[in-house]
Amino acid sequence: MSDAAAEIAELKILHPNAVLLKEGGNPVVYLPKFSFVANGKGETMDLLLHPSSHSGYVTRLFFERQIAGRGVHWKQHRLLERNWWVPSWKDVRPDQPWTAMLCEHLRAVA
Amino acid sequence: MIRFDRQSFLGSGSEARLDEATIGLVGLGGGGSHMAQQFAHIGIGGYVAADPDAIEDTNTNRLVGGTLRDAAAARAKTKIARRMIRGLQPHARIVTVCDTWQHATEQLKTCDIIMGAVDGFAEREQLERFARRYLIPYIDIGMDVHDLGKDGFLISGQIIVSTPGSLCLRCCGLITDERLKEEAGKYGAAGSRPQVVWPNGVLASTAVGLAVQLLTPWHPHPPAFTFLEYDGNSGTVSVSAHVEALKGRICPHHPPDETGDPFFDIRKHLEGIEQRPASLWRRALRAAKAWFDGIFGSRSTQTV
Amino acid sequence: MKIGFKIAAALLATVRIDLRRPHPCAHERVGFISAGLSAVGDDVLILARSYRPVLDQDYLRDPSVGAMMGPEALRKALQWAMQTGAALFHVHTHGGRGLPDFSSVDLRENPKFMPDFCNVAPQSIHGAIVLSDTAARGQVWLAADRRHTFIERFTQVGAPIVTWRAA
Repeated sequence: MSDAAAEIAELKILHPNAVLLKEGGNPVVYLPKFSFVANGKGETMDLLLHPSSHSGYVTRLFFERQIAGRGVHWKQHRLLERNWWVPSWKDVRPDQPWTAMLCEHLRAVA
Repeated sequence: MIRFDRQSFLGSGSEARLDEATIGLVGLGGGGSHMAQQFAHIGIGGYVAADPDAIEDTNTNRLVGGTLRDAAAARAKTKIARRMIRGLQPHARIVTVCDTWQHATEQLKTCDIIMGAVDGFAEREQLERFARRYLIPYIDIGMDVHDLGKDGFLISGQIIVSTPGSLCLRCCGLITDERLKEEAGKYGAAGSRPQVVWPNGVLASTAVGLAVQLLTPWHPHPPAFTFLEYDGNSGTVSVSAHVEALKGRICPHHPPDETGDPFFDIRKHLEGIEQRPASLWRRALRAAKAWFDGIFGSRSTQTV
Repeated sequence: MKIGFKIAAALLATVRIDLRRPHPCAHERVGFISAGLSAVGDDVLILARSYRPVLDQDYLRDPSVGAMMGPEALRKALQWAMQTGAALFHVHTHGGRGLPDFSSVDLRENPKFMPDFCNVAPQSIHGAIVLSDTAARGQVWLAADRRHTFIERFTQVGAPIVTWRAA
C-alpha cells in the first residue's frame, strides 16, 4: 500500500492543483483541468485517479467526458458527487507510483 | 368512509406522513413498477422516478402498469409510472427523469428513502454510496433465475435495507470485488436475464412494507439494516444468516466523514444565487430587510 | 434559501447521551457536530458526520451560565474546522420535550465565536444547535460578516425517520 501523502506530493509536481480526497475510505486524486494528448490532439479536462480497486478493475482513471474515437466500453460512474466517464482499460497495477499509474491509464485514450 | 381508513393502524398522523414523504424509485422495470404502484396505493405523496428506457414487448410479462399499446408506442417507463401514480394520487408531486439515475441526483437528494431496482452490482454500489452521502435510507431489491441443470431452475432474490450508520450491501456480501470483476468482464452485456412478475411482486411488496415501517410508527422496532432472502421455489422470504452473523459490526465501507458534496463551497453557492437577476419579489424583500436593518441594526451587509 | 439538517439517529443518540453526562463544575455539557454540505437547488443541506465533546478540562468555571467553553475548547474546534473544511455546529441540550429555544445566554454568546469558524473555514457554513430530548433548533452562519439564519427543517434518519420543522 503506497503512502498517499508521498504519492500526492509527487503528483503535485506534475500537476500542482492535484487534490487528495477519498471515496469509500479509499484515496482518490482529483486532477482539475489536466492537460493530456488524446487521439492526437490536446485535451484539458478534470480527471479522477482511483489508485485502488473500483467496479471490478484494480485501478481506474475517470474522465470528465468521453473522448470520441478513443477508449472502449465507456461507462458512467458517480464518484465524489460528480458523474465521470471511464473506458475499459484493465490491469493497471496498484503497486506502482501514482504518476506512472496515471500515465498508464492515459494510454487508453492516447 | 375515508380512502385510507383501512390503513389507520399505521399510526396517527401516518396519512400526513406518507403524503409528505418523497420516495426515489431508481429503475421502473419489473421491480420498480410494482413499487411505484404500491406506493401510490398507500398514499405516498412525492416521487422521483428515474429510468432511461422505454417499454418493449419483452417487458410486458412483468412491467406493472404497462400495456401492449405502450409497448407498440415504445412509451418511456417513466411515463407509464407517472400515469399509474397519477391515477391513484392526482395531487402527487412526481418528478420523472427519463435518463440514468446519475442524471437525477439533484432530485434524488430530496428523497426520504431511495428504492433501488437496478441491474448490476456496480450500479447498486454507486446508488447506495450516493444514498449514504445524503443520509438517505436505501432499499435494494433484485431477483435471479439460476439454471440448475437437471434439477430445474431456482428463483432467488433479495431485499436489503441499508440505513446510514448501519451495515451495507458490501457488509452482507451482496456486493463483492469478485462479483464486480465478473460483471466488468461482461462489459455491461447482461443479456436477456430471466424475469417474471410474481417474484418481482414478492420482492417489491416486501420492500414497500419495509419502507412504510421507516415512515410510520406502526411497527415498534423497524430494522435499520436487514437482508431478506427470497426462495422462489419454496415460496419463502427469510432473514439471511448474514444478519445474525454481522450483529454488532460497524460498516467500514461508508465512512461517516464522507457525507455531502466534497466540492461544495458556500461562497460560490451564494454568488450563484446573488448574481441571478433579482425578481421583483426578491427586490422588495431586500428593500424591506434593508429598512429593518437600518432601524434595528445588523452585522449583515448582504441579503440571503 | 432554506437550510435543512440531517443526522443519523445513532449519532444523535450518541450526542444526547454524552450531553447528559454530569460535569464536575458546569451545569451543562457542550460539544461540536461536524457535517458535510450540499446544495439542493438554491437550498443547502447539512449532513452530520461525527461528534466531539468539549473535554472536561476545557470548560471555564462560570456559575452564571450553564456552560462556558474555554479558549482551548474553541481552539481545538477551530482547528478541526480548518483541517477538515467541515461545517461545525456547537451543540448542547436544554432537555425536555418539543422544540427547544436558545436561551438568552446562547443568543448573546453564539454570535461572539461562531463567525470565527467562518473565518478559518469560509467554504463551509457553521452554527449552533440546541437540543431537547425529542427535537432541535439551529442557527447558521453563512459567512463571518452576515447575520445568522436558521435551520428550517431537521431530519433524524433511522428506523423510523423523524422530521420536524424548526423555523
